[in-house]
Amino acid sequence: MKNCLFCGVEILSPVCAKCGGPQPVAPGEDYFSLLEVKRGFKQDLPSLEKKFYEISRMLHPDRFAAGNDTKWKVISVERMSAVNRAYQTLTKRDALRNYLLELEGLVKPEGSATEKPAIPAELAEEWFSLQDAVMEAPTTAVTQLAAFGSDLKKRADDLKARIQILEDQYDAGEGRSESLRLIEKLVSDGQYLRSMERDLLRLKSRLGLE
Amino acid sequence: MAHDHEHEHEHEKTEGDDSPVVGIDLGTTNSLVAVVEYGIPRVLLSREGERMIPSVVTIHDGKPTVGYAAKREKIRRPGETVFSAKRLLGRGLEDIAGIQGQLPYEVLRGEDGQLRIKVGENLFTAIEISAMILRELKASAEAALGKTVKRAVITVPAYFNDSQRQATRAAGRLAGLEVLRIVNEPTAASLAYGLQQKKQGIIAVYDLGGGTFDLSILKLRDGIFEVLATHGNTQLGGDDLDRAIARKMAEEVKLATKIDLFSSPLQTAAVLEASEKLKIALSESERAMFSVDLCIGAGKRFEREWTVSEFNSLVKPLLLETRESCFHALDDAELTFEDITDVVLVGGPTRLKIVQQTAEEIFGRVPNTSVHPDEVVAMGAAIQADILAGNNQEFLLLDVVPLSLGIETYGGLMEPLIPRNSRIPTSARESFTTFVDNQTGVDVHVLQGEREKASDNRSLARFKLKGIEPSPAGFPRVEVTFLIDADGILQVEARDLRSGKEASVEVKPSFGLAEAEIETMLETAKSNELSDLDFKRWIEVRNQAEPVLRAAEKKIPDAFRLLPREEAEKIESICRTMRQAIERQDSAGVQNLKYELNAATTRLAERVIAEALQKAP
Repeated sequence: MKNCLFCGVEILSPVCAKCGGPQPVAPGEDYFSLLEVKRGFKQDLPSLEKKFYEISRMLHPDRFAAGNDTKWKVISVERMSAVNRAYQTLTKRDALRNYLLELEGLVKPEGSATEKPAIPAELAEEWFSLQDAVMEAPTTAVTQLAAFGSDLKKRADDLKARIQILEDQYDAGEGRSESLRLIEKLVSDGQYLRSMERDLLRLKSRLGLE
Repeated sequence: MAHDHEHEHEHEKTEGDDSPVVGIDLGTTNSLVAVVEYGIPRVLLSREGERMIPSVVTIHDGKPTVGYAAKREKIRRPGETVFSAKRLLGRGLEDIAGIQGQLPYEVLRGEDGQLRIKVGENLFTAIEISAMILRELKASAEAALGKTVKRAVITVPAYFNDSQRQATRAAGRLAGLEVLRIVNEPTAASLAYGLQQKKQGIIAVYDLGGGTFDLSILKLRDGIFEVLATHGNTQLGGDDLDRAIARKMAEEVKLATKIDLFSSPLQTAAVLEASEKLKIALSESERAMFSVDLCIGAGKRFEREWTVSEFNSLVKPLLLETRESCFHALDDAELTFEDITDVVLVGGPTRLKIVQQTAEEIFGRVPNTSVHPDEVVAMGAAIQADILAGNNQEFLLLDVVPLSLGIETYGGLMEPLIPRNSRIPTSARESFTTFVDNQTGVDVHVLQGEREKASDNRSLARFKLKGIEPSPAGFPRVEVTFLIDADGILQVEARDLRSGKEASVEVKPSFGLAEAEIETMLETAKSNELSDLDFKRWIEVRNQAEPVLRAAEKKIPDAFRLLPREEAEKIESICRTMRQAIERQDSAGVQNLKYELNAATTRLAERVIAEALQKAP
């Protein structure tokens, strides 16, 4: 168990129950431990909010504003800003996924671009024939555009469902490292789907359809 | 004696903590001060006996007058009267291009980039003018409470950027206040609403003030006031409705008579005041007369009757500009209009039917007008002050930063580090490196705003990371932490990751004051408070009193040894009060206490001399 930085008694919360001192973020603490929830892809939003409110009530700089202890003020600002970042991340599905993958050492921080995932051959073919059709007869390409759009959506939904299954497996503690590896792969597969969706949108707006 | 000293120190400390923390609504047109006593917020009357203090300052013969007295001078002394100074706080000349021609005072760019307002022959910053208003509020609160007021919470429009917040805080410091917190106006209003209505749910605060508009969406639950998103326009308010009327009237006058109503500060002030009067009259009746002197003093008047519907169609396009902010905030909060359980109207202009109608059209529901539109922000500020003083453990505000914060990248783009509507306090880290061999400094340009091009955003600060050890390009790593505190104000820290040393960072706000500048101004302000003659007299009094007091203080241990306890204690207490009076520069008080001390120490002096004689060989 941890001990209070100021009075030394054992502590169970981010603010010491005995002396009232806020505790700095310790090395090794992550967004999950800061919000006192279980590490996992699925978070229950109402209980996350409850935790966040509970911690804010104790830790927010407003609680230390009138006191004379500058050190406490600084720590409360620092820890509260970490808690705020944690809450912002864990309440957004995509942000949470990226964070957990990074925490588990699977995603390199942004910028260090890994090679782009290859687009499956049949999808690429579909895309090229669509562009040809648009060039030849823009007015009749409408149905083809719609078909391609729904194909993209189907693939995205399928990807989402597969990721979800793997995330549930990770959360249940089954084959964790294997699940993580597969999630990471599917997430990067999702990138070409998103970029194609954007291309499609651009094409549609050029044709005055959107 | 040592024990007594400790006791004294403790006494002073608790006294400081007991001093009331007031809430101040520093408005574009009117300002208020409020306090919470026994859990109930109330507005404190000004020294003029009013609930509001017009944010107007007249400086005549070097002496500032604030409030209604100054407002009355607006027409008589236009060149010496400043109003709407809040619109200039933390801003540069290019920010105010839209209103500059219609202000009856001259605004110039100072050498430091900060704006200067010309008053008579002197130049003042908007910070100094705001400090004069804050000083008046402080004095009013002190008179109403019968206590010294040292600490305050000051509200700002939620959409104020970092420079504007810093400028507000500087004005507070300059007025001799410790600013415990800068709070967003709509958020403060929600506190008062929450206290009054005891409702839970998601509310939209539609806050149209004298010069600014804010829309904040909050979730109220179990005493937590959580801001989900905020958006606004810092150049749209009730003032702009006046200006719209003024412009229309100036056009008509010019057509009919060739007279330019904006030709002189005097005329401008007169037409703006006539416009404001018309607006207020039309909020109560269907028809009203616009009436203004054409050539002041010559007795030639221009009069023209207005109907409410003419006024409404004139200002409606302006009011519809608020719709965009509502959409933005809802979008950012990931909510739709159906999710809103109550729309709360705040700010004087929301009394106008046309404003209420506009809010109703936007949100598709009848807005709540139960809170006092002029007073709710000050009341909320007082509640927040009470929370900060530690008296209210039930309520807690969780606020957000209104604009994204980022840095300029190599290609002149803005790279956001902290997105808008992030809960505060918050922080972000970024590491920087060098581009050429043996480079020892790196320039960092901090920006605030939502645009992609760096130059389209507000420049908050430029600083240099210095003292990097010479090494090949790209090798050094300087980690910079950008922290936004609970006031929504940026702090920057840097560390050289290779040497582990703190890197030197010099941040100077683009349109504000550095800490040292505030200190210097505080010193000058202090001595200016007393006119020169008073000051000279005070120095004389102090120079006479100081040696007497010092001698008595030294003899306190002797007093306890040689005199009955009550007498010694009396001397001690006079010394203490006199010390405080000197610190307050209370000339008359010091004078009186000096006589009291003389009388109280007569017997002590006799005993000390007698003892010395006895000891003598």
